[in-house]
Amino acid sequence: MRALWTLLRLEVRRLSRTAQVYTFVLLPALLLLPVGVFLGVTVVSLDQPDPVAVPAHLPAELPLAWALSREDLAPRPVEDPAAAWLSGEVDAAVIAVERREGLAAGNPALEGVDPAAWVVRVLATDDEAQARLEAAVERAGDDVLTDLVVLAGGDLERDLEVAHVEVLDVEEPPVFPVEAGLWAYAVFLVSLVGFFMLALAGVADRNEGVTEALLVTPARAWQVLLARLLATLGLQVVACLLFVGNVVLLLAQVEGPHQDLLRGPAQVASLVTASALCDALYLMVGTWSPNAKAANNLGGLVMTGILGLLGLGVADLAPAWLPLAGVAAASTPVEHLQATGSSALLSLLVVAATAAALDRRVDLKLAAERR
Amino acid sequence: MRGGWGSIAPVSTHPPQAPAIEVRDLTRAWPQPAGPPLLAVDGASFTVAPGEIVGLLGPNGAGKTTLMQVLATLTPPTSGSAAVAGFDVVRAPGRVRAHLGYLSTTSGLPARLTCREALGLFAELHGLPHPRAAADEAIGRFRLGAFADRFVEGLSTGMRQRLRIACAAVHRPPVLVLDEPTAGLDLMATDDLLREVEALRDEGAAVLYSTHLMDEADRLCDRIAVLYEGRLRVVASPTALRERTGAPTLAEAFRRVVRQEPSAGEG
Repeated sequence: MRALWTLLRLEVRRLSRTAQVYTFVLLPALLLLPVGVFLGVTVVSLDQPDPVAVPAHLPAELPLAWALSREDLAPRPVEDPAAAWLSGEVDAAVIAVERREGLAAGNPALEGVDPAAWVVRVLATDDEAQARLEAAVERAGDDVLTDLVVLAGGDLERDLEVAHVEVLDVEEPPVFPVEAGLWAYAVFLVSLVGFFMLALAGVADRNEGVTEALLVTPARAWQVLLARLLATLGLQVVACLLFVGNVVLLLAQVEGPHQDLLRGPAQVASLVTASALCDALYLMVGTWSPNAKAANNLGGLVMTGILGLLGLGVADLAPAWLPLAGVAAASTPVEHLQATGSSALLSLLVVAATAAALDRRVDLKLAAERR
Repeated sequence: MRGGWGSIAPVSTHPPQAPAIEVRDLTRAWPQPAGPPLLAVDGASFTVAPGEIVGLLGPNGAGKTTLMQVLATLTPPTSGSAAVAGFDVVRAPGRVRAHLGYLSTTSGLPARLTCREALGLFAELHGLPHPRAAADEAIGRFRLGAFADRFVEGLSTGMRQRLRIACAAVHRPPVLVLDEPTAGLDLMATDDLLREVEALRDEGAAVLYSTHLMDEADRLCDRIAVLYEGRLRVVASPTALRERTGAPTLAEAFRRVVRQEPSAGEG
């Protein structure tokens, strides 16, 4: 363990003194930080979703919640949506039909509403809000509309037209929607940089004889490789955190379900292990490539494979347990754990195989020289 | 062509002390794409005693580097045995490396470390209890103080080579295997480095020293081992080698041994 710790410190020290670490990893990640703040303040904040009070039990009613979020309406679960609406806390409210009768006694806006007739009265402060709410209701479809009456409000004197709502076939929405692809992008981004650093560092080390010098000490080949992997992985985690920090800054200014994207250690674990797998593959490239050109070629193939797997995951064409693809394909904590396990296992196998092959590699190199 | 030196023992007599390096019938064969394996080392046997420098001489491709790499556990022998400080290179490679200082033409140091850090690194990897103190001690011993805090990549060739020897010897190993350590060095740097090697020998280290420079071998080595086409032709002191071949210089003696030319003075 002491040798591993020594080698790990060596690798960290070397990384900290490598200019590419700053120019290709940390600086871009840091530069994204003010960009994220700028976007969050100037773009996202101008288009914040309107809060819509919904019954506290609504999160189980995924079709309507999903439909609202797609229309940039942020559902805000409360015990009494009608009371929230009447008090002006929210601009609109979704009210369960069973509350309608009791509410109607003191609420002239509900007079004449008859959900059984498949007609929804939509009240809104402006045409845009009305249109968005109508669209959300349409997306929500039959299952929700049979139980709910949707009201949007502000100007109670304005009795808008009655809209007919078509029944749509709403699919089950994913727990983590489209924005979850940011995670896959983060993995790819930092791993792309890690490739150049790891693969070329491995080749340079062997060309300069550093690996050989380390291998004639009591340190073992797997310790040399594992130390390099851990050091680079640590750097990638830092870069990932910086990148994720931007996403947090962006999404923190967006109320509603977006905030759920950053929940869950399982998702973070799948991200980190996917990075580790990329590192391990690049480590193999750097160990086996005889020169920088070969490292670039082999690394390009590996990178293409990584990109392909991520693409399969983003397109939802791969199972969650498939290494690398899983980080993008997973949508539930359990699936993220599956992705974590498969990536971690494959990472260890790649490192073990590379370490076992390193001695053999020395032999092959010597044999080649003999020819 | 092989084995014609009847008057010169292919293996030297045993040194008086227990050998620090012991090589017995060592063979290392490299598989070839076509044809039989290439015998880089073919049945070599010799010993190196503590406090002795044995020069390993031979033309390019003779098998010197392969032999040294076997001793450094970088590649296993095909047959035969080799032991360093009493530890077998196959059965106890970790202990061999712990008792060995190895320097080859292909080994290097991390460019972005200072001399002090590089010495501390190797001291730590060898498990020394006080690596910083060991590094400081090596800086003094190998006269590296003037550039102790300079990065390796900023050193001249001579300085870097001196540092590499210091790193190989920072843990004061009983055995040093040095493969052409003066290659590429100027005269002054070579003199400095040879003094370092002599000092290590005087401290009791056994040194196996490969070189193509006959003057250097003549000056430095207590015994000379000549390897040719994988086979050990002779192990003898420089003086004995000259006398037995009748050659006026070690270089000429080497040529005669390699060419298997019995001299008038033989026998």
